[in-house]
Amino acid sequence: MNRQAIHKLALLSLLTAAAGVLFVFESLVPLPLPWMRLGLANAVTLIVIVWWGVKEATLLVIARAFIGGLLLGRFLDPGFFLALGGGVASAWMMAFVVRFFSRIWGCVGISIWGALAKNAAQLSLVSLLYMRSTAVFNMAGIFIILSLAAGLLTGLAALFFLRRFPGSGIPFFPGRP
Amino acid sequence: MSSTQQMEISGGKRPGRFKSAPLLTPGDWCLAVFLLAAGVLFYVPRPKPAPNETRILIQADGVMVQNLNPAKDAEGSVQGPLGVSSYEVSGGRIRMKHSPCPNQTCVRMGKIDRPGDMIVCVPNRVVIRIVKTGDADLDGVTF
Repeated sequence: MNRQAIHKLALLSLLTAAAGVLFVFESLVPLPLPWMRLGLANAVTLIVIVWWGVKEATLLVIARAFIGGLLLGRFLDPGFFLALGGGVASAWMMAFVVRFFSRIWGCVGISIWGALAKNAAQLSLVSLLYMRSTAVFNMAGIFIILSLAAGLLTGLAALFFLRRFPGSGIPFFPGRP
Repeated sequence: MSSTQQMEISGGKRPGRFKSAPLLTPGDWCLAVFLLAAGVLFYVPRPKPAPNETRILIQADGVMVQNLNPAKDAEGSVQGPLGVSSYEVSGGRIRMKHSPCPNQTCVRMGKIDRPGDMIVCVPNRVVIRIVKTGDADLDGVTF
C-alpha cells in the first residue's frame, strides 16, 4: 500500500465516521414528522463523490447505514433497510448528476436530486416490501417539498466545504512521512 | 515531499470544480422553483376518484363465481360439491334461498346488507360476502 492509498483510506474513514455521527445525531433531533430528516450525512456523500467517485461513496453509505443501525439499535429493521436503499439511491443519483450535469446544476441542485432519489427509493421500498400498497405515493407531494428543503441545506453545507477543500491539497494530513 | 507541500487526492473527474462555484446556479434555481410548483400542485384538490362501491361477492368451492351489484334485484344459483345453492338479491339485501346442505344454517342466516357481512355455507362450500371496493386509505404510516 503506497502512501497515497493510505492517505485516501484514512480520509475516507474519517469521512465515514463523520457521516455516521451526523446520521445518528440527526435521528436524535425531534421533528414533527417521523420521516422528516435533513439528511446532513448526504453532504458527506456528495463530498466523497466529488473528491473520489461513486465507488467510494457507495462504500461510505453502506458503512454509514451499518454504523447508524448498530448505534441506534435499529440494525436489520425496516428503518435500516430504508436508510441503506435510500443512501445508495441518493449516492448513485448524485454521482450521475455530478458526472453528466455538473455544468447545469451546482452542489444545491445535485443535493436536491439526491434527496429526491432517496425519497423515491424509500417510498418504493415501503410500498414494495412493507405496505404492499401504492397508497404511500399519495404522500409524494410532501416528499417533494421535503427533498427541496433538505437538498438546499445539505447542498449548501457541501458547497461551503468544497469551496474550502476543493479536492486537492486537503490540509488534514500534511505529506510528512 | 516537503512538509509544506500537501498531498494530492487521487481520482475525481474534475476536483476543484466547486472552488469558486456560486451558491446557486441558474439550474439550481430552476429546479427549486419547478419542484416547489410540483409539490404545491400536488395538493390542488383533485376530483375524487371513483367513490367506494358496495358489491356482493359469491364464492363457490373456493372460486369467485359471482360479483353482483346489490342495487339490482336478482336471483341465481351456484354449484357446490353437494349441489345447487340459490340466492336472492332484493332491496339491496341478499339471502340464501335454498341450499342442499343438511344443517340449513346459511338459509337461516336471513338477509345481509352491510359491508363485511357474510353468509357461509360450510357443507356446500359457498361464501357470500358484501364488500366495499376502492383503494383502501391508510389509517397511518410509521417508519
